Amino acid sequence: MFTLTNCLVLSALIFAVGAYGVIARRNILIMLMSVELMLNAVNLSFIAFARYYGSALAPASSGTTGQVFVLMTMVVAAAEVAVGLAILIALFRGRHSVDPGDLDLLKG
Amino acid sequence: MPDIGSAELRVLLPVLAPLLGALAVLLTDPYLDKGRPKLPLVYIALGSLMAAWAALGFLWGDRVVAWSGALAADRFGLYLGFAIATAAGLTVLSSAGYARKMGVDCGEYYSLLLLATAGMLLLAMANDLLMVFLGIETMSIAVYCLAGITRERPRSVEAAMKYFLLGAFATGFLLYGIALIYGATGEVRLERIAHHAANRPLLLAGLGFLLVGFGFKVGAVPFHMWAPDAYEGAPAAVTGFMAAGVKAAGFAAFLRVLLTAFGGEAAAAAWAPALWMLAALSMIVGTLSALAQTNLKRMLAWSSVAHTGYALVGVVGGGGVAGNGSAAVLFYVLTYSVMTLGPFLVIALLSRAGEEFEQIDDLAGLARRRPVAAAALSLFLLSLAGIPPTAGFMGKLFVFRAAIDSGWLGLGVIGILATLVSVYYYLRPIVLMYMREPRAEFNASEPTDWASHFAIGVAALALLLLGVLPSDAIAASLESVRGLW
Amino acid sequence: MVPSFWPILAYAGFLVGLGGAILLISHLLGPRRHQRAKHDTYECGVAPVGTARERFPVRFYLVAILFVLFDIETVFLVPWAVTYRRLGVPGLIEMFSFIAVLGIGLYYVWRRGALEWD
Repeated sequence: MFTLTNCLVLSALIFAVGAYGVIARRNILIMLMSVELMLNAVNLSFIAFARYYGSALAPASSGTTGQVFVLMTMVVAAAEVAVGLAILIALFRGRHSVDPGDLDLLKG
Repeated sequence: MPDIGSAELRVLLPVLAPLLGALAVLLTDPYLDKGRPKLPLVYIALGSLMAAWAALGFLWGDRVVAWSGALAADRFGLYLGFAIATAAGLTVLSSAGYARKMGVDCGEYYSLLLLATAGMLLLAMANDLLMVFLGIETMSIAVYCLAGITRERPRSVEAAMKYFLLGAFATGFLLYGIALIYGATGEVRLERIAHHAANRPLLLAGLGFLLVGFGFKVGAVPFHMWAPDAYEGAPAAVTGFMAAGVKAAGFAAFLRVLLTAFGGEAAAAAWAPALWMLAALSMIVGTLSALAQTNLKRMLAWSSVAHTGYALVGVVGGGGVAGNGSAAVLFYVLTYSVMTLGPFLVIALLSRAGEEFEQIDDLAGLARRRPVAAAALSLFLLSLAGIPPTAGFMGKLFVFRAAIDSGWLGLGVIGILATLVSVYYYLRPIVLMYMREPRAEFNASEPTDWASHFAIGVAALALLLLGVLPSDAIAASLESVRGLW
Repeated sequence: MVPSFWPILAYAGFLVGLGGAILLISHLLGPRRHQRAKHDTYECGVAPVGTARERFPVRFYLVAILFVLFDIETVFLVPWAVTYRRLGVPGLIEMFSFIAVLGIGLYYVWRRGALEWD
């Protein structure tokens, strides 16, 4: 069940859902959540690869790199979402909308 | 336990200096008077950036790899490291007056500036994909905040939001690319990835995602949508820093990854056509869009897209170890970071309290009222247009020649045509400044902002020096690329 | 892999079927009386006041986001604690400098008054 291929396919699907969400949804909060979805999909890939390289299947190579990457990604994603929400709140105070279509001051 | 020897600390010095500076700013800020100019923060920022400069100079020499191969202090990274530290220093000088005018003379501003610089320097020296990721994110997250730091201006916040959304989106692609590369090879160290055959689909897919991610970060068409809005909305000093520093650091990492991890014949054959398209599209779309702009910052944003294209010409026409293309990219990005920072320093100088000086029409008659600023702006624009004897000319010459020499004639021709068209929009502001009667009032009554003038002077002098006596910088760029192998 | 998985799938199927059957039977057989109280957020207990879609003060956001930031940093503490003996003194120094950086951030937040509730 938890084969490398299955995990990778799941990860790719979640990544695609996230990317679709960023492109198609008209709500900045949901776009933010979609970005998080993309990053966590990648984390799944990292863990799957780390397990693969950590097991006997792969030649002498360590699986810890992938795990370290996941920890880093988690922290970076938290910092990123904190900044994103802060910017969103500053934006919402000014115009009371979370629709990216309303971001129309900058055009040319 | 990896031994934390002196090599480790030495390599980390250029990153540590701005990082400690940022912490010092945070510790100092609460003790300063609210109403008075926060000069101590400026001194701390300048001091730590000079320390970073000194550390870069101290490391200049043979390649030192430390932290289990995660960081490499070699001339390749240090070369653009100098450009980054210089851009940050000039930005701080210009910010001393500008931040007060815009009401952001606070600890956050300077500490974010220093943190972004630390991220950029980390990125320039990153030798594995984890450090590339950390460097890019440290830099980007700080710059998102900086773009929106003038919270009272709706356009600044909007720019930050757009930059953030597209930047975070790009981060997802970059990270996915890294994951696939790790999956295909089991490695994140750049030189070890190179040992694996490049024809595996997983590795190629990873490379593709990586190109998309980097394409976003350096603002190459078709991944450039954020650039015009972010550049226009962000406060001018920040925009200059973004245009110079982010691009220099992005290209340093981009080029290092391509040359070290994917420098082999087979891999290069995979990415060269893709980058060919990005380069051609960036030059064409950037140049044509810049023609129609009425806002100076937005025009410079499109111009920066075009310049990304010119630099990519050098990446495509790298020509491997023997070719000059990669060295040309380093030299080009160095000169570009100075000449794109310059106009934003002038805009920052001319801006009034809470109001940016950004319409091209407002430049009319500037030469009469502010002759020094007008002369400096003209020099920067001439250099961006690539007119001798400025650095911009040498940079373009070097890049286009390298590309044509290694057989990329088409790209060179597109580049030269785009350059010719671009002369029109770079000359228009100069004509306005010198040939028209003044329309707007310029803030001549305010006390002279010496720090800002000094920064503009340094940038102008650097451009002239790099244009007239480029041989040292070019020789250093060639050595830098040789040092990679 | 596959043989050991079948019982779980069967069990899951049984559970879904059972749940569906109970819902269906009670839907068909159960009496229905509509009252106002049935549409409340909670059918019993204290009567709700105001709407659930109320805006929270932005202070909640600030505290929440600071919590998330400091909370997620502990992610680095766990691997360090696991390998504490092998990392030795250099590891200790690294971790303490990491915590010191966080501490300076907290100090700045505190001095700027972001932790004041009113």
